[in-house]
Order: sequence, then C-alpha cells, then structure tokens
Amino acid sequence: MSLVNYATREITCKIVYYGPGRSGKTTNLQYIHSRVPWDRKGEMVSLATEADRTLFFDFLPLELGQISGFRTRFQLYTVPGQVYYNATRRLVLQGADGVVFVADSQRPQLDGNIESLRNLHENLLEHGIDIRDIPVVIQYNKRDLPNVFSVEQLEEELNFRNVPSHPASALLGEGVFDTLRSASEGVLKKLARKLEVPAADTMGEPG
Amino acid sequence: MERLEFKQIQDAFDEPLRDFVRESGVGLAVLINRSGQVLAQHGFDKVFDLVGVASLAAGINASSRALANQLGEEQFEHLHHAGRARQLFLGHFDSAAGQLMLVAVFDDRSSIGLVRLFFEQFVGGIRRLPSMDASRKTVSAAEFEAELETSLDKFFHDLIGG
Ligand SMILES: Nc1nc2c(ncn2[C@@H]2O[C@H](COP(=O)(O)OP(=O)(O)O)[C@@H](O)[C@H]2O)c(=O)[nH]1
Ligand SMILES: [Mg+2]
Repeated sequence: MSLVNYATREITCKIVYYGPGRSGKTTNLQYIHSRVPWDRKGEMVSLATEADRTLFFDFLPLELGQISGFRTRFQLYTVPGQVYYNATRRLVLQGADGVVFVADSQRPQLDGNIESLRNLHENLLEHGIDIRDIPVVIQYNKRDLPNVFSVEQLEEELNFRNVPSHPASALLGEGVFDTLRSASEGVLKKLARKLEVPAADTMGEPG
Repeated sequence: MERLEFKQIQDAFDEPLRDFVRESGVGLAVLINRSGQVLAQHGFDKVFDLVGVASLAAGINASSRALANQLGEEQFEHLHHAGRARQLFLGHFDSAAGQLMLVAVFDDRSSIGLVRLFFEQFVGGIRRLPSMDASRKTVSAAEFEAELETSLDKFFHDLIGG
C-alpha cells in the first residue's frame, strides 16, 4: 500500500523484485545503486548469507523528486529466491505497490521461472491481493548469455497477462532502468487514480 | 466523520510522538506501519538513515510475528535489544490505520521501564485521535498524471543519459 502523506506532501511506494534464485534481482538493485547520484539514494541494505545469497532482503531507497508538489520516494526490495525461504518472501511482499518479476532467460531455468511466478500469485493471495490488481512488470534477464530462450518464447511461457516486459542484462546494466521506469510508472499511475476526489472534498494547500 | 485541518493532521502523530520523546527521554523515535513506511519521526537528521532503520525494523517485526505464529503465539508483546551504549525498543499496536510500530533508540538517560510506560501512554494518545480519512484527499489526479511522465523522464534522463 503506497503511503501518501498529505500533510508533509510525501509519497512512498514499495516495489518488490521477485523471481527465482539467481535470476539477478540483487544485481538489478546493485546496478541502480551504482548509478543513482548520492543525493537521490540511501544506503543499500543487504541481508545476505556468507555465500552472498540474499537471506532476508535487499533494500534500496530512492528519491524520485517532486510530482505535483509531492516529494516522491521509492523503496526497492528484493526477495530471496530459494524455494525454502518462502516465509521471508511472503513477508517482504507485504505492502508492495508493484512487483518486478525478474526471470532468468536461460533455457534450463524455465521451470524455475514458472514455479516462482506461481509462488508470487500464491503469496499475493495470502495478502489478499489478486495479481491482476497490482502493477507487475517482467524482466527477461541474462540476455547476454548464449543458451537463452527468445523473448517471444518467454512471452509465450510467462507473460499470459500481457504486462509490460523488458529484456535485460542486469550485470551490464542493460534494461535495468527501463524496467524500473516501467514499474514506477505503473505504480504511480495506479496511485493517481486513487488520488481522484470530487471537488467538494478538496482542501486548500497546507498553511 | 470529523474533518481535520492540515495542521491538525500533521500534529496528529507528531504531538503524541513529541510527548513520548520528552517524557521517556529517548534519543530517536520513529512511528512506522507494517511495511516500514514512516508516519512520524523524531531525532533523525538524515532522511535515508531514517528509511533504513524503518525498513529493517519492519523486517524484524514481520519475522518476529511469523516466528510467534509458528510457536503458537499470536505475536510477542514488544522487542527489546540492549547493546553496550544504546538500546532498541520495538513496540507494536493496532490503530485505525492498521498495525503500527514505534521504534525507539535510547541510552542510559532512559530505561526500558520508562520507555514501556510512556509507550502505553503514546498508544492511548494515538487511539484517541479522530479518524483522518475524510481529510486525506487533496490532489487532482489529472494534474498528477500529467506531471508524472515529465518527472519520470527527468529522473531517468539523468541516470541513463538519454
Ligand atoms: N551473465 C549474466 N549474469 C548475471 C546477470 N544478472 C545477474 N547475473 C549473475 O547471476 C548471479 C545471481 O545474481 P543475483 O543478483 O545474486 O541473483 P538473485 O538471487 O536474483 O538476487 C550472479 O552471479 C550475477 O552476477 C546478467 O544479466 N547476465
Ligand atoms: Mg538476491
């Protein structure tokens, strides 16, 4: 649930990077963190095991700037992909305004992608959210590797709802910001619809 | 439903928090919801430290809750972590705005007893607030959507350089 603070005129949205283990979720955040100027971002917090696998989540706060006089902020999270971390995954998903599903384009990973997508549906339902009601974008990652399915094949297998999708090589930074932009837009457009109110209910600017 | 003026909304959370800080003697305090979003704060002067603390605290709360469930408890009452110089208190409570959590950081100028005492008082103060739903809306959706593209263009232009 996005938080709109009308008093301080701030908007905070939560975007969760979801997907199977090793698909490149953490790499997406690391790239974003490396490219965003210091005054637009906070510390990247990674709760990882010694082997560098995400244990709980990665977290990166971003400041987008002003929209309609609202200071707009994003909180990016990743979930641990390994199957046995489902409890943690569900926790991180709580309160999400939008989801980036990071799929691994490599052929042997197809089942893992499908399983993770199914798991996303389930976990959203646990929070009472129908996947059709939340902005989701799909990223087909690792396009730089040789043994990958074509984007068309992946669309066929994974994108039955026809949500925005983007090819990417997160390790090289390709497609990372396209994906984030697309997700931000989805989330903020949905938020804009919630802001709509009859004129009579509208109040003046804060004193 | 009672209508509130802007100033009142701002004060709604700020004032009970300020009272809590003054009476309990804590150095840092932040009121967050279950997703780690900040509703009010005291003592943080860098916004991103604040957001980091808030998200980690929400993570602790969420995992403690899940752990409690596995052990057949609904939720543990509050959490207290004591370090050498600083201590951390995480207290949750239900409100009209869903479950909220107060995170407080204190040193030997306060104590866990004091913090718990004034936390109870703080919760009472929040619960007595009138519902704020009626006065939440204040923005034109059309205007917001119109500005959205431009703002996103600007932000991503700086990053991608194109
Ligand atoms: N070749 C290639 N490797 C990638 C890409 N994205 C991530 N990786 C690698 O895949 C592994 C897992 O990435 P990570 O971000 O930790 O996955 P996560 O489990 O989804 O967080 C790491 O070794 C990354 O360097 C990519 O686009 N291309
Ligand atoms: Mg990871």
